[in-house]
Amino acid sequence: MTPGPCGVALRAATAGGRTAGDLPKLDLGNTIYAKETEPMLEALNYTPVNGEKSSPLVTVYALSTCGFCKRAMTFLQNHGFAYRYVYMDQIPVETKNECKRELKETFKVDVAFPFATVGDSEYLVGFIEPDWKKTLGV
Amino acid sequence: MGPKSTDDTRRFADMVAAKQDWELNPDAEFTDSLVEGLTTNWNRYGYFLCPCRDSDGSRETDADLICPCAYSKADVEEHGHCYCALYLRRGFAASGGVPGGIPDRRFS
Repeated sequence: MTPGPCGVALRAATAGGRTAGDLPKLDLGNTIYAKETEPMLEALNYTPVNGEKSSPLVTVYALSTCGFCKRAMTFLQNHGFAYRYVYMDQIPVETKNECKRELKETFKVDVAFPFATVGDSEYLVGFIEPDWKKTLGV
Repeated sequence: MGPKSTDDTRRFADMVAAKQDWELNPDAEFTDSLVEGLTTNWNRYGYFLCPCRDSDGSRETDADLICPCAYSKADVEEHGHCYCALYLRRGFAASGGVPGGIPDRRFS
């Protein structure tokens, strides 16, 4: 990682990880840098909950006001899942909307709450208990 | 307008249920949490945003989600309860119905 101007973190376009073609390029003289745009979802402050089953990684996007969100997290705890959660109504609306956009783009689905990601590619939307049982294998 | 208490919100929910000939979810713990959520939303946004929906950021864009939401009648009719399961069709619980998650009609 190379420090850039104005405190912006820059990564040389040839650095490993993401392909430079995905990133907006800044021309700083002789070197082309790519501005690192981390997904907003990665920047959220998740609360971890311990459980004996720590794989797959389960992340719950919830509303602090929602009864089914509470039920979904109780379900995870009752079945011994470790998970992490974030209350989307307690973060700035712009951040929340960007996170919803990222989730929608990744999973190609309208985001309602609770919304859970299971591992890298599976998701659950709303608390429909048979769906959660099936996806989580309980 | 000042902040609302959960008692204020409970009176509002009772009034809506009576007007629509619905009943409140008999699961007291679940209903208490929804009444608390509605109260939080009133005190946060200034209107009773559905506790199971997130705000788009303004009263105008949230208008269809203000309790009782624009989808509640159709949901009660089809599923026996509204999206957040605060309101139930009269007799739904007595006949063994158990509210569960339903698709958000807003997206259909």
